Parts: sequence; C-alpha cells; structure tokens
Amino acid sequence: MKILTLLLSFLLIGCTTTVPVVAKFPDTTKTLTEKCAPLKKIESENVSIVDLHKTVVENYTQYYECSLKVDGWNEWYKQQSEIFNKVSK
Amino acid sequence: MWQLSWMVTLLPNWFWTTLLYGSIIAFLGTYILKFIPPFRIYANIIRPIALVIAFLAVYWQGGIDNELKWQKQVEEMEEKVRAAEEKSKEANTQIETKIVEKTKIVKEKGKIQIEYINRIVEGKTVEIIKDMSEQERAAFLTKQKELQDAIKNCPIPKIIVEEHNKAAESK
Repeated sequence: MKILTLLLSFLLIGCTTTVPVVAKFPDTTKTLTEKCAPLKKIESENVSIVDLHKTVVENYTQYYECSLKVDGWNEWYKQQSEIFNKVSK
Repeated sequence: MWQLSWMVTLLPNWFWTTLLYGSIIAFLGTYILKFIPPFRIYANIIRPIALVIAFLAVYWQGGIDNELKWQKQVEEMEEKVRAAEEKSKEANTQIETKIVEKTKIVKEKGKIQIEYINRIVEGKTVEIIKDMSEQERAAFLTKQKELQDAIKNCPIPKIIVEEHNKAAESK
C-alpha cells in the first residue's frame, strides 16, 4: 500500500505548469497625462473689445492644445493596440 | 507536491533516458534469464519492476519533452514582448514629439493674433502695411479706425462678460 501511494504521488509530479509570459501594460507619454488647462475668464472691470478678443483667442488656443492631447491618446491607443495584437498572434 | 516536483527536476534529463533504456533492456533480459535455470526465479521479480520503471521513465521523458517545448515557446514569447516594448517606447517618443511640436505651433499662432491686434490698437502698423497695395492699405486703415472707435465708444456690457465667464466654467 505504501509503495502504491508513493507511486501515485510520483505520477502526479508530472502535472507541472509553466509560468505564463505577461506583457506589461504600455507606458504613456508625459504630455498626454497632463490635464487640460481650464478656460480663461475675463477678469478686468472695464472690458474693451480687445480684452474680449484676447481672452477668446487664448481660449481657442487652450482648446486646440487640449484637442491635440485627445488626438494623441487616440493615436497612442491605435499604435499600442497594433503592437499588442502582433505579440498575441 | 511542488517540493517533490522540484526535487525530481534536479535530476538531469539523461537520467530518465538511461532509466528508460535500462528498464527496457532489463525487461527483455528477463526472457533470456528464463532459459538459465539458476536465474529463472529472478526473471519473475525483475520483469514487473522493470515494467513499472519503464512506465515512469516514459512518463517523465514525455514530461521533459513537453517542458522543453513550453520553454521554447516562452522564450519566443519573451522575445516578442521585448520587441513590442521597444516598439511601444518608439511610438511614445514619436507621439510625444508630434504633440510638443504641434502645441508650439498652436501657442505661437494665438500669440501672433493677440500681438497683431495690440499693434493695431497701439498704432504700430508700419510693419503690417509696408507690403500692402494702396487699396489694401486703405481697407486696413478703415478697419483700424473701426476698431479704435469701438474701443473708445463701445465698452463690453457687463452681462456679456458675466455670461462669457459662466460659459468658460466647467461646472
């Protein structure tokens, strides 16, 4: 009986497993993780058309800066998913 | 169980191959032993033992081959992951450079537009009008006058400023 138990436990040893290879989640870039700046307000008391124009232009600039980040994230996702999918094929 | 498994893995691969061939030879040898009367009794003892050892050796030989196959696949996968990580870094650098360059352009464009209006307001228009035709210059001066009149006579109503500021809030 002892010998049989030993033999059975010996046979079970064959069920070894291999540690799977895990791909690390890709890092992103510094610029993409920066928050979009809030839109600017008109702060002065006597506001001229020039002040209004300045604030509006600055806000458009903010918008385009932020949209570049969104486009960047989309491109990042597209490229990284292509790279990842090639690994898993 | 893994401790036992680990101990067995310490044995070299050739041990199991030798054991397999040894047990097969021993098993076949028992048929010869049967023809030698003084050793006939040993044949009956050796045969089942050789058979059990042969089974175990075959099992382990299969395990070793399987392990080698997996290790090869793991190495291939690790190589692929390494290459992918390199590509990922390259892609990040490319995206980062692109965003930084485009941001510079966007900032510069906004700055130029604000400066342009400031120069018109301050009357520093020599650089602006120097390459203009007579007709263009006249049209520009009309626009400049219109702007200066608007600054003097048309202050922005407070309600417009307030509503603009509300729209700029994210809440």
